[in-house]
Amino acid sequence: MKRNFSIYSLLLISWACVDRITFDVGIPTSFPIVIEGFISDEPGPYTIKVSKAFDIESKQSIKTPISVRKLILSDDLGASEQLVAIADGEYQTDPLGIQGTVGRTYTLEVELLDGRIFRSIPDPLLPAGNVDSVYHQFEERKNKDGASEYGFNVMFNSSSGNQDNYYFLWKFVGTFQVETNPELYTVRCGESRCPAPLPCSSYVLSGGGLQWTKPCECCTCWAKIFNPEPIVSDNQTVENGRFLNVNASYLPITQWTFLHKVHAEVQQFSLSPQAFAFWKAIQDQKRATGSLFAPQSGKIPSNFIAINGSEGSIEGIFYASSISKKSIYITRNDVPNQSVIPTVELLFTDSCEKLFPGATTVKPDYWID
Amino acid sequence: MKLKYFLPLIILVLIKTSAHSQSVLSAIVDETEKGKSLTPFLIDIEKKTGVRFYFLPEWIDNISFTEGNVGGSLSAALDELFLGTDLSYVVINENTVVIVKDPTQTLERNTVLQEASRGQRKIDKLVIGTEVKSNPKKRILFSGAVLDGKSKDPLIGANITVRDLKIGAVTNQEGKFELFLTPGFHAISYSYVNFEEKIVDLEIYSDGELNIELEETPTLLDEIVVVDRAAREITTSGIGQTQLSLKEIKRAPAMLGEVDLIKQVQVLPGVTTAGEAASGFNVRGGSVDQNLILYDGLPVFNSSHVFGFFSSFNSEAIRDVTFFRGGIPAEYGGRVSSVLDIRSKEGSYEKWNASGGIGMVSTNLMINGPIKRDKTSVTASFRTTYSDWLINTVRSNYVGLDKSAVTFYDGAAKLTHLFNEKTKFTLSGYVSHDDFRLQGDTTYRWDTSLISARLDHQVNSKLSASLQIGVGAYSYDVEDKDSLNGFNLQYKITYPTVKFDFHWTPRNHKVDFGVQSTYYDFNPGTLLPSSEKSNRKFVQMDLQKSLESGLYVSDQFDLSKKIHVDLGLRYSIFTSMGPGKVYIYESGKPRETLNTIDTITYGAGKKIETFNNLEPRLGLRYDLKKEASIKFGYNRIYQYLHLVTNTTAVTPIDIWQPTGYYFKPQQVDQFSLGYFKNIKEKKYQAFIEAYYKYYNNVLEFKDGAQLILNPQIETDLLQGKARSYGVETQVSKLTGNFTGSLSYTYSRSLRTIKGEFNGESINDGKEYASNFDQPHVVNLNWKYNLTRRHFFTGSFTYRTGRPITLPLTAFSVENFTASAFSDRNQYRIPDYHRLDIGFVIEGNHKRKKLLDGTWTISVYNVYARKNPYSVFFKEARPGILRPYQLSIIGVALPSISYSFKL
Repeated sequence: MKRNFSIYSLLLISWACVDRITFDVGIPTSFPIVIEGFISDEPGPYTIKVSKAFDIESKQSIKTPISVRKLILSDDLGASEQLVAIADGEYQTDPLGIQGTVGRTYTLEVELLDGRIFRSIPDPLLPAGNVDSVYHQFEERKNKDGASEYGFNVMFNSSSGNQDNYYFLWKFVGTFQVETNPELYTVRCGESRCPAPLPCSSYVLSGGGLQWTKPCECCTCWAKIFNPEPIVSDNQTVENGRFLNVNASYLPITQWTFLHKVHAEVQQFSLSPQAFAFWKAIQDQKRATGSLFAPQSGKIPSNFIAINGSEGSIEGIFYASSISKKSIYITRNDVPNQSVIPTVELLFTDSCEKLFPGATTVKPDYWID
Repeated sequence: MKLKYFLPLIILVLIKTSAHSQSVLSAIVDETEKGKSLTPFLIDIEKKTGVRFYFLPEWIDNISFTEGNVGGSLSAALDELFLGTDLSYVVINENTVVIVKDPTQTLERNTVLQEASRGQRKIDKLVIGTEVKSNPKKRILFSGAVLDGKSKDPLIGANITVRDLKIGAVTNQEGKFELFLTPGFHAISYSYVNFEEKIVDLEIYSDGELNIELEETPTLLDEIVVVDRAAREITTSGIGQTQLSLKEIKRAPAMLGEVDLIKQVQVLPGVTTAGEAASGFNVRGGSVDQNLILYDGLPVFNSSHVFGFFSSFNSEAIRDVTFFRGGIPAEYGGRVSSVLDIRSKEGSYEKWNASGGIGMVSTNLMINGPIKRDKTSVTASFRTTYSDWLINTVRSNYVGLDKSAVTFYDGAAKLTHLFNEKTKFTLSGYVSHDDFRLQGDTTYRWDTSLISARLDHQVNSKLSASLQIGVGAYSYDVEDKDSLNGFNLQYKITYPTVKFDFHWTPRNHKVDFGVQSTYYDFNPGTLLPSSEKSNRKFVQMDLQKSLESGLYVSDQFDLSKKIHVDLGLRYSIFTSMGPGKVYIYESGKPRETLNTIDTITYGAGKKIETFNNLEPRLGLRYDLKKEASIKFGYNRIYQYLHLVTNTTAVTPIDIWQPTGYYFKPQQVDQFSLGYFKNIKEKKYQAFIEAYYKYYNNVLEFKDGAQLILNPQIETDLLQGKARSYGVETQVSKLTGNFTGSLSYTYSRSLRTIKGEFNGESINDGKEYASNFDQPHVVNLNWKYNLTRRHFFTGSFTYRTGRPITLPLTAFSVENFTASAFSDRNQYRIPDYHRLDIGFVIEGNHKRKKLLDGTWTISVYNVYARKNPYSVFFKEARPGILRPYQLSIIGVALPSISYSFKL
């Protein structure tokens, strides 16, 4: 009996573990230049951003814009245009300049300040097909701790149009209206906190109380939510040129997202094989993270090549794309069980942009109250 | 009769040659002497010239002049007639010639017999032929077989050593051997690991045959560790070959007490593995798919359970294992790096036996015995696991491993029928199954099944033949029950095989020849939606069919007393055939789907592409004095099936891609050179072996390759060149209470993939380390006998960490952040090292006992080294990847297991 106990007690030993591992790779002495941007069949101007990659070990993901000597966008008919800087590391075409047209092929050439030149592989602007329908499915999920979480899967059906090109990138943009209370902002005063309404709240302190002066400029904003990974087409889901029941994103039900409703838009971008390879590599990298059978990670294939023997390489992508969009609203009434919508228990007393970086107080054109 | 003693050689060299004697020796042998005995001739010369010849008549009575001696001098005739015998002659002075018999051989023989006698070992006395008819010049063929005395199984790789002549042989796959002896007395030693040595006092004057049965020793003898056969048998085997002893493997400390054949292969010189429990092994810089694993003659595509934790072969069912990493015989083909030839046990023809084992992970049972005594036997074995606990103890929620489930089983059966002494029929079957369910809804299942029938027939004393017909199948399926994306992915290879082999032994030659053919039927993938709600669509990849055939011939012979030659030639033919589609790409442009310009459709059975190749094999052994030899080997081998994977370790869901329109066969040329030596009467043995391999058409994947369900997979794969080289050394101590071996290997494995277009090169076309480049490997094994039944065992292994590709920087594009990786394989994971110890308690050594049980207590990873099984990346922030290592065995892991025989 004693022997049996000793054997079985061994079974309870935990003997496998996962640990962070560090490699002595040194601090990178130089960081690759990153170029991002696209030309589409939507009216210009088109924007190209140039930045520097950052150290993987850095504590923050800071994108450092950099300037270049020259950026030239050209097409296969010989038209070309030099982009102009509109901000640090941000370059734009003339609104009346080159316009993306289906059937044309586009190239971006960049000359860096040190004289090195890189050029993108000519990228064809292919038809986008069509986002046929967008719909949602309510879903209950379990988180790591086993607790229930609720949300919607935003689904869509789309078609490639009358063509054999099945290379697409789908982006999801969710927009929701947020209400905050900057008039209740406080500052430390001695041992306690004292009211200090933000100026944009349009309230001022008056006689120990708050006095309204004009409509609030930062109480209401529209925040955006994106899919954490790009979605690219999968030839295992295409049938007769149609992509059915594709999941664009998961939209969690939080106290903010479903305060009112969510505008859920699915954008379909046509891609060339080179551009598809770039976006698929990013998707694969994000999906492979932590996977038992993860393929070996490799480079994200940029479509820039060095010209005239320029040394180094460029990260990023310049691509040409036709875009098709479709959107729906998902409202509180779509939630099957209203009790799963968290109530706003804590008021947010700072400006809307602080709560949701990138949020805007300007109501989007497409927003319908 | 005159009795003349020979004189010490030391005196002889001091004596001047006589002119008179010389003139006698210059006498011409005329036509009339042909066929006459030497004795009367010499006596006649004595009478005529007065020159005295001193000799014992019985030494030369049977030596006669031959046609070749006519017209030549007497001295030339004596040189010719004494060649290959222990006789020689010296001229003492002008009137004296002495015929000398070297006493070394007789003394050695006497020593062997005396030692055996003192050790109370049984000495069998055997006389073949009669002395009267013998010719001391004649080379006599002595052949036979070495069998297991209990099961009558042939013992493959048994040593037969003619101790007095210091020559030997090794039994072949049928347990047979051949030796050429001089007439007279010889002491023959028959030995096999863990069997009792048998000594035969042989008196032989004509060709003869002797089958010997060895009894399994109840005590642990010399070796517990796997000792390279090349070192152990320096005078008898080819280069780069290892005979694995199952008994040795069972006594070595093992993870969780699970006896594991593949893990023992992984510690042989020149062999590495990708991770702690990775499936498969890498041989001399080759990839995992370059190893031909045969189970009773049929290829096995998956050799492990639970992704490499355990071998899929139950050691209880295995009779013997031969591993070739260098001199691969022409009989084998289709894989360029190594052959692991596994033969299962036959049942006893005499009585029923049972054996089994109870470990912490699995339990196994084997029964065998006669259906009809001395005619028909059967054996059956089964192993299954209760290993769910194992995976549930993972101290991490890494991909839900801690909430996963795993089961596996394997089974084997063999029926053998002896029609008569010359004809045997064998029916062999094997199945293996795994079922692995990850937390959530994904289940992985993979299966192997083999069945074969074999007929062995001894046509005559010099020719035997075997015909084998079998079929194998390997399949896997992945089932995901997710409501939106659920699917069932199925993959299968079916491969009927026929082999017709011959073994022919004309004088002084061992000739093997035959023909083999395998038809491959691949289903590269079928995808089914798991439910009506699933957005997955039905996908059926085009089936792939191909035929691989080989004709081979090989010959082993002695070019001289010191030079042994193995020559082989294999002619391989591979045909890829329809039905199928081939996509045509625009010339002058990268091979990408965008550049597809046409599709060619082939009907059923239509040839798509055929490859014909000659594969020469050469082995040379030069025997040096003092039990040493130098060996050289050369192989050219072609491989027509390629494992397509872009993971570091092999997973069961990798796919095999046959050679075809776009994929050329892999070709390897390997050169090996080694020096092998026994030291102090085989107390120690050592070898050093160097090799260089050059590969053509190795497969590599593009970054981001989609390999599963890709109808244009040629757009995601690249072919290039590779080379590997290294030096393997090993020193072993084989006798005494303390035995063991120490080996060190330095090797490199490098690849170059350089394409014509952007994206078709890896690392800009520069040479880079392959995934299995591990330059320094050290293995140490030992055993110390406390008593005859109790002993400590242990092993230590060290390997340089394998290469890895790491994220160095990160960048953001639109709303997504991604990590940018280094060039491929520019860094290395931490070095691997581990110490295991074990204590084995065997049952009593009485020959007759009801139960023969063995307890094995071991501690795996004694100092709790956290060796990485897998390095993977987790997001610290969106897109920012940080490396983590999964250590499967992060602690010292004790285990206890019990095995028994009834």
